[in-house]
Amino acid sequence: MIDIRNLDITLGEFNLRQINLRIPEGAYFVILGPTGAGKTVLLECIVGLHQPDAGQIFLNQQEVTLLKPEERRLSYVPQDYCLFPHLTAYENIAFGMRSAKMPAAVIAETVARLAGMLHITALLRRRPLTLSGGEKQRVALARALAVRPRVLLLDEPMAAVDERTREEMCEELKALQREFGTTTIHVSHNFEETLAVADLIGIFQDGRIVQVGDPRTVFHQPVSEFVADFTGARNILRGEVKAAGNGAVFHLDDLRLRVDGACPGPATLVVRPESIRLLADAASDENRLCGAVVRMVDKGPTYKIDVATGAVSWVLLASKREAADLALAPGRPVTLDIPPSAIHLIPAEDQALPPSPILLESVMP
Amino acid sequence: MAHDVLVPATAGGHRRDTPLKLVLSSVLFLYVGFILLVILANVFWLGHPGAEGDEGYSPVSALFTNPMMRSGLWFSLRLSLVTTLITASLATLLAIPSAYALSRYRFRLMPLLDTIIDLPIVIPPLIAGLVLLVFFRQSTLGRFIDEHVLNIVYTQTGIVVGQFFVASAFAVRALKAIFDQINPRFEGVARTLGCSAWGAIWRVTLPLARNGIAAGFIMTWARALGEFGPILMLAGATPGKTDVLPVSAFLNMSTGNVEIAVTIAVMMIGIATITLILFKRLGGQGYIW
Repeated sequence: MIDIRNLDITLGEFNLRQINLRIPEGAYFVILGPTGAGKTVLLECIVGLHQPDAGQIFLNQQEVTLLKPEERRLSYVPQDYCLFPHLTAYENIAFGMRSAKMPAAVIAETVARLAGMLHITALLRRRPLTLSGGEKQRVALARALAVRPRVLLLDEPMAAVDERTREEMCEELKALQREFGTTTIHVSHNFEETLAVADLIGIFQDGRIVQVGDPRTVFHQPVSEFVADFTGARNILRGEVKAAGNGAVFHLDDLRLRVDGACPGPATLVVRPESIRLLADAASDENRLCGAVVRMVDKGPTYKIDVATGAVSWVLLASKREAADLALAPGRPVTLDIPPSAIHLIPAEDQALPPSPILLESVMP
Repeated sequence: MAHDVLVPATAGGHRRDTPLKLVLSSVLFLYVGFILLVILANVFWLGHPGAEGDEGYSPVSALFTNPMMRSGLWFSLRLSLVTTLITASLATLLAIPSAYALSRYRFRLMPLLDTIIDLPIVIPPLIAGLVLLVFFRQSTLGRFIDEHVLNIVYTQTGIVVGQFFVASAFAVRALKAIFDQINPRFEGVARTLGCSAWGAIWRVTLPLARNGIAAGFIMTWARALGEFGPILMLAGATPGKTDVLPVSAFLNMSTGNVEIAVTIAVMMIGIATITLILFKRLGGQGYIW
């Protein structure tokens, strides 16, 4: 288990404040945040390459804040992999075991086994310069895993990998992590990649962790407009919740949407594009909005569709089949079904506060 | 959209740039031609018969007919090679740790440090020699060294000291550029894999810097080979004792043995050419100091 308490780091333009994180043993934890937010600095601080200004880092109840990197037994795969260019893939993977003065037979056996698992047996004699992005990544992973680290830290591992390999690699990475059971911290700015691998997510914003939770919770119950926006909730509207009968209704100009269990007051409404259902008949009802298709963007298997209902513009997703069935085209009148269960509300007073670190108490799902 | 408009404009602009390209490159080629012309004139002069009116003998043939001249030249060449190899080795040994520290660590007085290191390169070589001479003759510490540790003033050791004073600064600069190019993260990763700080330098940074260090050594050596001013002041210009190649060229020129001076000149140009080729082969960049 990793326990980070009140960590402050200043490095160049990066200013990380009050980082609190508790990552359970064996979890795959993704730190998700925009590029340039200081995620790499945080990783390198955990690894021991930078000293924090304040705060503590514990590994399985042992404090490691002041330990040298070589004493921590954490493996780090930087974004550019940093494979040693003067060594072959084999020598790169064997590097850590040679540092530990392990017997040559054990090293050879371990390299062979890891190479087999990562499908790089054929590359072992080659030097990093001759490898593709994906191949380098596999060699770097093998090198990191060869020393049986207590924690594996991956900095944007998919950044130098092409789109097609990425999906495949995400699955492999997750399977590998399951097999080794190594606690993993993976830094990413891509939320699809995050969804594919994460047990737990921490959202990183301006040098702070603003929300921690399992992907479902973070995606469906973002704590701020930033988190909602960054995790791909495209419909984010500021309005006011008013009590109505035994429930509550969200008001924005002439828009009315019934919402579940919200306190009255100014609030931000968040609806993920995939939670909106498209209906063909133009019957207006509770939480059904009539409008017209404005734009359709081809996203491969789906269309991203902009629909205008009154003054509000909604973004939603429809499968190709659905779009064909409904004969969707710009200008076509449609009805949107936005059930209260699809709506998440962020009260305005929460937003006014500076985003506060949230301690994760729950264990693995 | 603005981008689309720009593309054909640039393509068309390419043709309009031709006269400019012509003017700029002719300046370049004139300059390169001038350097070549000066060098080749010396080579041709050496092999040109009757230049001195000596019954059709070319100046270079004096070397074959006059054993005194030949042995003098041979001595200077050997002296130069031995002293410069010692100098370049010492300078490189000193430069590896210094350049590493300069490249990786942040010091409070960095600009001052930087300036002091560049001083031996920037001050006129003759002045460097004068300063060294005064140090070893007038200061307590310098005199103690000269009298009790190593005889330096007007000796062959003085040649090495004179060369080293300038060449070492040069080596530190050259190697710093090499270490600057090596991502410190390599060492970081090596350490997460269990290497000590020393081990990471030894197993990762130094092997990666190997070619660069070799290139730096070669350029430092070439610089030491051409050193004249400091040697003249500190070691003197005694024929058969402290006349390394440049000093010998100067002495021969002033005593009228032009053919030997020019022979040395052509030899040194040849050495410089080979040095540069080796240096670039090893991946050395365009910096010379």
